[in-house]
Amino acid sequence: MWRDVANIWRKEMVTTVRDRKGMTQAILVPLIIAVFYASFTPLLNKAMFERSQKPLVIPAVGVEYADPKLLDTMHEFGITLEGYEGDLERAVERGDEESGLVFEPGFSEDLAEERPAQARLITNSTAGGVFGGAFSDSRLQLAVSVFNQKVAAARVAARGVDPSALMPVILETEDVATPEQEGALWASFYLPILVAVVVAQGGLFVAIDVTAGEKERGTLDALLVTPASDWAILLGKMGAVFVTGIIPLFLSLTAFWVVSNVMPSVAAVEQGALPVFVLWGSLLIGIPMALVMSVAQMIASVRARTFRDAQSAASPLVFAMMIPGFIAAFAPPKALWPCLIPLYGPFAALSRMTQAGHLQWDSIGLATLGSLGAAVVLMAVATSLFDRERLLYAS
Amino acid sequence: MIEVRDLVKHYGDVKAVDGVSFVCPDGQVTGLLGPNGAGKTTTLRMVCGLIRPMRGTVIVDGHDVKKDPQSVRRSLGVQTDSSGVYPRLTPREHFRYYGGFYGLSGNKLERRIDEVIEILGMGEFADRRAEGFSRGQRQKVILGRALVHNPNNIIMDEPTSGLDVMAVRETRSMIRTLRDKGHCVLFTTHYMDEAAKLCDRIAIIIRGRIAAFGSPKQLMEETGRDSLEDAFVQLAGGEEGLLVSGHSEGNNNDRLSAAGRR
Repeated sequence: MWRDVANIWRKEMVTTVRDRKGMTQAILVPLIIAVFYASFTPLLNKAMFERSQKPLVIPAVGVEYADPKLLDTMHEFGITLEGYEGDLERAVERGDEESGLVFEPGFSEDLAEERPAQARLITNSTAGGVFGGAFSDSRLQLAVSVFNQKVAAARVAARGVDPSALMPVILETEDVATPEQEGALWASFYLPILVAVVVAQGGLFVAIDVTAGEKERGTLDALLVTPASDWAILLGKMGAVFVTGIIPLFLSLTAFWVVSNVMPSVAAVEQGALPVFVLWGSLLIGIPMALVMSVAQMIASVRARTFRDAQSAASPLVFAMMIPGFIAAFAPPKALWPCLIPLYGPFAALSRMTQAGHLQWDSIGLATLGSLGAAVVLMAVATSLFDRERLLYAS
Repeated sequence: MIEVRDLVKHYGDVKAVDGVSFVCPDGQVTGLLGPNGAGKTTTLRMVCGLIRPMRGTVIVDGHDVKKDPQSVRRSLGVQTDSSGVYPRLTPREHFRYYGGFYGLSGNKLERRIDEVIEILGMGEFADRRAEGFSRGQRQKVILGRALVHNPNNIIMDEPTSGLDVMAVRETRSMIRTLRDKGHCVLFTTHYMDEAAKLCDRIAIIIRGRIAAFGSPKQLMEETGRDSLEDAFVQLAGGEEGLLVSGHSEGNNNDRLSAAGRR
């Protein structure tokens, strides 16, 4: 039997590798997804950092009424107020300006006489895109808040009161996260999703090609009249689906790791490099998952008559894999036992490892056990479905 | 030798095959003729062990398809009715793949592949990928993969369908050669002249039952017609497609099978 398994596996691998279009797609798509996920957070950080450092010029009506000390504080935050003549509210509404300030006459006098001095911030949170109006507002609010603290401190000091009375609680922060945990922090969100997408998509094309593709090409009959047993045919084909499923997984995880370790220098903000254990951990939980997915994809497509039918039948599997990935990404489990749950368990293990900052063999072991159990059950289902007569007449 | 014994296969109310029996001896070409939907392909699939008969069985070189389908498949070379080949494999790779299922490997397999390529005149395209092959070239690949393990029994489902004149002549010549070498050949066709030229014996199957079985000459004599086509039409129930009343009786298959063994 194993000779037939090897014969079928070899043939399926040869035809898959020779399918340049399919192979390009199978390799490129996971690589692109991996590079996107790996670079998204650093690029986002970079954009936010640059925006926070960029000098900000805020149009202001009645800037001549503003207190010079307030203007100085704003300068410290890289904010310059520029006189504006015209309908500022309309300009902000149109998005011509991200935000603007309006000072009324008497602002400085109110401040000097310790009355609440009012200024109006006109803002359009949608102007300037994601890093536009909302960012300007928060920088302005921060500058005004610091100015308020300074003025309040000066006022109470003038009355002989210790300015520290204005800060009844001082919160000191001590971050005890290890460099490995810091490095794996944002990967703990993206990796489960990346693994889910790549495992779900990896061998799908091949699974369809070796089942429905055989029917569509008219080669299935010729295979079924050979002495190869049902098991041999099933295992040979499944082996090809499995191997072509883990190759994109390996490539995408490697790309993710490489890009993740290049990106911190791009990010221009403190962000730990992705530790290598994350790569191994993802592979170790991903390989048994790919096995489960290979069998599931075979089950979904084995009875389909055409390539399109098989695609329709197998598409829900992508969601079956992605939903647990998303759950683990958004709500990482603390307990060990969820690692045993098929489909969800590997993602749970991955989340736990990235949080812990090192490989956890108990998590990996349970996740592998759960995946192998699921694969055995699905294999039994696949075998029951792989009936020559039904295959020939499946619709 | 292939012995088909009282095969029955129903799909709900449809009696696809309803008690078919005939024998295909070694060194002879046996034709299975019938209109579309008569039950030819279902019968062939039961012979190959692809479909389980509800009743009856098939014995191939002493192996019972119900008890030992793998041995039956090992004794058969089957040219299927579909013209599908793997577009990304060369004919040589096709033969290597299929030969591997029959325990062939190494030099023995390679020598046999060379033989098949030579016999079928595939030298020019044996190492070209099958993508873009003409119907005739694909048909040779399909025939070659059925012959690569040099089976004693060869089944061909409409082997000349859709081929050009030269390819048809080559295929017919190949069938004669196989017969002359002592192989048992069972094939289906819609072409009456082809059946008349090639077949030593013909089983005419109508509505899942054997309507007649014998040599072309016997069938023409039995019906009093001077062409196989006319004999076939008459046996099929004339233009209206009705069964000949005598052949619709329950003991019909036995009578005709017995006649065929004469």
